[in-house]
Amino acid sequence: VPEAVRALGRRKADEERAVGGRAEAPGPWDAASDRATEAPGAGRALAAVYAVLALAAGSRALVQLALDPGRAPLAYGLSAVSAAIYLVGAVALRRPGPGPRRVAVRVCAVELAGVLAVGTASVALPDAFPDASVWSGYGSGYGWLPLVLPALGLAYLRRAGDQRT
Amino acid sequence: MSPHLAATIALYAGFVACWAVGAAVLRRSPGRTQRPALVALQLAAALQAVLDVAGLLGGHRPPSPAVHLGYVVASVVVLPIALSSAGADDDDPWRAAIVAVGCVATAVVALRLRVTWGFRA
Repeated sequence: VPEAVRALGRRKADEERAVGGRAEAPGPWDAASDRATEAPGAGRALAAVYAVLALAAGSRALVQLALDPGRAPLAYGLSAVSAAIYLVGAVALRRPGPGPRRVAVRVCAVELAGVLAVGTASVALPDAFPDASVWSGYGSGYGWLPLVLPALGLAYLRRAGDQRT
Repeated sequence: MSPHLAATIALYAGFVACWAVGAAVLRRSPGRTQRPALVALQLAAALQAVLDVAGLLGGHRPPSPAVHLGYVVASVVVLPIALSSAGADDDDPWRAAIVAVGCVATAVVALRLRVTWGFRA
């Protein structure tokens, strides 16, 4: 009789899990959610901003490097690097799973460090930047979006990671 | 290039962006209702690009032709690039936020087109 009672209890617990669906549901960044094809909505919204910035920075670098690469090679090169970083960020933030999440965290960290370093250098050493890069003046030419975006990305990724654990 | 069409596109994109922001803040899904508005915006941007190229072929020389051409290309691709993150789920409230991002970017590019064309209001 005790075994029958325990079996009944197990079955009831299984049914409750099936109805609730919370205990077994994988988080958005879990390996199990790799089957899904899309990251959570907030991640995709951030990815959209990253994609637009990749387009803006990439076009700017392409035109500048094609027209007069010798005028401000450091600034133009930094614009090209920032475009590549934004592109990787856009792809990583769009994809679910722990691997893309790790990439996205690194992208946001590198981007934040880049904006702070280049922004400070452009203010302290203006002669080194005869033409502005995307990160000059802490991204002031782009409404300081390059400074705000990695902070938002890191906060979002941290929150998404907390929800998983 | 029609500076007035570019300004109209910027205003219209701003309107759709406000609509999308409202839906996102209220956590309401825009559903399929925004799709015709976005199609109209993309068609207007394409028409603007065609008129722009026709103007360039007609002899107009912007202050920096390469920069202006970059903005012409961007004006056509920026909305599809932003919306490529939106996903297929019409009922996702975050889709509205992504639509807002695309519309704001389209409005900015349309205004930049006027400047790089050399138009002075």
